[in-house]
Amino acid sequence: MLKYIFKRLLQMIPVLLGISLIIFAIMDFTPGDPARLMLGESATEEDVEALREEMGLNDNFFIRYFRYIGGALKGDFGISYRNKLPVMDELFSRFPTTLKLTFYAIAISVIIGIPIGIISAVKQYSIIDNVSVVLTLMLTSLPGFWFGLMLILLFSLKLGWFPATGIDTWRHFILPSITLAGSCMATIIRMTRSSMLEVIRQDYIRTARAKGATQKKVMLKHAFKNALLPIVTVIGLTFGVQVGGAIITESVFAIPGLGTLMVTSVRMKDIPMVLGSVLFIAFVIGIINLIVDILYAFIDPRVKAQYEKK
Amino acid sequence: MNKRIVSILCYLLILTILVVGCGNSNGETSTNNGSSSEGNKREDLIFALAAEPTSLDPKGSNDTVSFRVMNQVFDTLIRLEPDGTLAPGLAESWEVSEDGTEVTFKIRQGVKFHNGETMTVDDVVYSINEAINSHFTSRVTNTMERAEVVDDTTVKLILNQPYSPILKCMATITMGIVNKEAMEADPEGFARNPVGTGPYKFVEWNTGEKLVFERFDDYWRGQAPIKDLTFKIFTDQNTAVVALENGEIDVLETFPMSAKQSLIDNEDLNYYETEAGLYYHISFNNAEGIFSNKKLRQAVSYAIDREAIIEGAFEGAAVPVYCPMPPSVTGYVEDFKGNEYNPEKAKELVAAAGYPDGVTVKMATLESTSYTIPTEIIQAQLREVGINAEIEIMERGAFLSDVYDKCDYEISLVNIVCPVTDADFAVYGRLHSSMKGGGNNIQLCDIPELDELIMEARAEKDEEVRKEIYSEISEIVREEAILVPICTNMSAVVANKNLKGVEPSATNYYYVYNYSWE
Repeated sequence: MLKYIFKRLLQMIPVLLGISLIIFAIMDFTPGDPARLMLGESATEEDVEALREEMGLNDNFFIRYFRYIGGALKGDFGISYRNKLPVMDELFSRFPTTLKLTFYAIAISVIIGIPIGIISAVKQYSIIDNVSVVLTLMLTSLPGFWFGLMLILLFSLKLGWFPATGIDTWRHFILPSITLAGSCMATIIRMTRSSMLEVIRQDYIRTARAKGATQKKVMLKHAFKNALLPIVTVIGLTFGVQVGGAIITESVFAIPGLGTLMVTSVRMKDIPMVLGSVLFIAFVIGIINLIVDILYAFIDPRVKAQYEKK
Repeated sequence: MNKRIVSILCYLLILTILVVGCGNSNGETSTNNGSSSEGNKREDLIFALAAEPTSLDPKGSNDTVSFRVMNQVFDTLIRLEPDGTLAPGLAESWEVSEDGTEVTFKIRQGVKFHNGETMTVDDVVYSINEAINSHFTSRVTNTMERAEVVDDTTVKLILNQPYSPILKCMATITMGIVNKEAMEADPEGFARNPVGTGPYKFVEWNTGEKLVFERFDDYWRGQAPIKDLTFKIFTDQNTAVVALENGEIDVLETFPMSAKQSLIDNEDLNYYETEAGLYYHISFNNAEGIFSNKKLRQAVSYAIDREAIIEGAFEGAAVPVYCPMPPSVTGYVEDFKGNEYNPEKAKELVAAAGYPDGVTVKMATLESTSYTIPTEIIQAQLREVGINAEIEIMERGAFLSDVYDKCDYEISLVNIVCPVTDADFAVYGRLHSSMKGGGNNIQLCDIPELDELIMEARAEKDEEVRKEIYSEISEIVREEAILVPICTNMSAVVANKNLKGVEPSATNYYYVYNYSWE
């Protein structure tokens, strides 16, 4: 198992290198000059040129790329063009906030989504199932920025239950977590439902019932455990997407997370910061995928047996 | 049944642990009603920022958001009062030499920095020279040569040419006085841990979230009424509006146009506005391409219905402009007669320019709605006179690169911001031939007569004479249709109604020192 984890971690290196090259090239070849963006439209040509020289932007593409990679291998991901802070410092200061937000959102989705999904599957075409279909349809269709603003208007402005913005206490995280949970909850409900529906039609479920096991035991012990694999995959994927993709939610609730950082950095052509964030998110997603794969082993004995064989 | 209750309780328990366990339980929510209706006088203030400041080093940034924060932390030798007059700041008095190339400042004694040190002439000279050498400040410092110590209380600023708006330049926060020792000890770190002489001293900066300041008790003008000052960053303007209505913030100055009426109607808020220190204009590439044809440029100048643009794009909150500068600047020519809307004349000029069947042009514009909406209205107006403008919406980086750096465009709607309320800041960069390309004279206009007048206005001390020169400059711009001035929008600030001392500002300078709770 350890050998497998080590191998997977090694496999991430070429992936990250490839990503860094692609992002570096995209940032470099798209129009826009970081020095001009920093100095503004009224700066003179001389000032812009002097700053370009100072920032090393006049060097050849490959020289700059390899200088970046050389630094990155030593753990130095550069200094942000925009605010002159070390990229890693800023990423580490923002990551916990995004992680917290993502974690709450996934927790809410799982705690509410999985039971609803199971009930919808077990009681297919019942009122609960129909309501859950409507609910998931609504949750996936509502745009995040609108849903977030509506939550703010209702719970913050009208009822005054929760603050609209900020990250000071747990209460600040409730509305953004619900906003973020909206779309992933819908996916989890649908995935649980379809996965369960598939499993409960299997022969071994009929056998379990024939043995006289209670409905609850059949569903939770026999069916749900077998239906769990795709659900875990979806949760893992969603987690990865949310870490880098909470941009709208972060922006609506004025949360200083990775999403807002990325958007600002892309707009300012802050190449070190964009590269740093993308690599960081890619790394986090890689780790999450690894954790999901390892979880498979605990859920499915067949997978575990495979690892052990290796 | 019992099992079911137990499992529900388990769910609830897990949820509570997840939510509470990971949350930071220090302190309660910062929400407040925003008013002192309970009779308790507040001592804190939360000011919204539309973006994160790039740096708190006066010489290291040139964005208005950073300026807004630095205005509370640093002082300048000369202070710009909200009414536009100049008052003594860290300089008790000043004198401009007869030939206009030297300014001698008598420095105020006994002024303390936030780190407890006393300000000296060395700090003053150091700050000015650092600003002169910075890439970020050249618009304000391009006429400054260097500063020197004369004696323990006197500093001399030497200019490379006589420059009439120099005193106003010295009042911009770019020329803020920094603590030399703190800056030299950590030149990079200073931008995030500034030491000035201003009414508020730096406490902390939580990246992406907020900047916190506290009252500086030894401030030379006396303590500020408000004790704790927080700048909170809102990247979403709609959220900032809700936060203001909700009392989570007290002052907001960037908001969507659509929210304006509800903010004005809100009884808990006061809405202040004044004409902004910028003006929108249509810019042409005068040197190359289709708009090197003067008649076609003139046609555009007659095709523009300013009132329709103001109503349609600025919801009426703008004033028409006919000379190449915003109304808030010194030197503005109030009674200047520009080319009025006259579609018939415009059509004739299009034909006379050699396009009797109309012409198609490319109109570059920034992606932001403050440019795209007026551009669409201009497009419709141009179509009426036979000019078919194809709009090309560009991301900011690409726009700056193509239009400002390379001047590779035909026609575009742009604006110019005057960091100093003087006509020179709208005219010199935009129209002087020495500033061609590279971000300023994007019209690529090169008219010797215009250059002479601009230089004359820069050196002239008499305001009335300067105004006459700017009138002549405006006439050349009108006649040659180098660019077409359109309008100046309003610069607004909305604040909690119990907050006193708030004033709108053309240059986006807000002094929290003047604010107090009722």
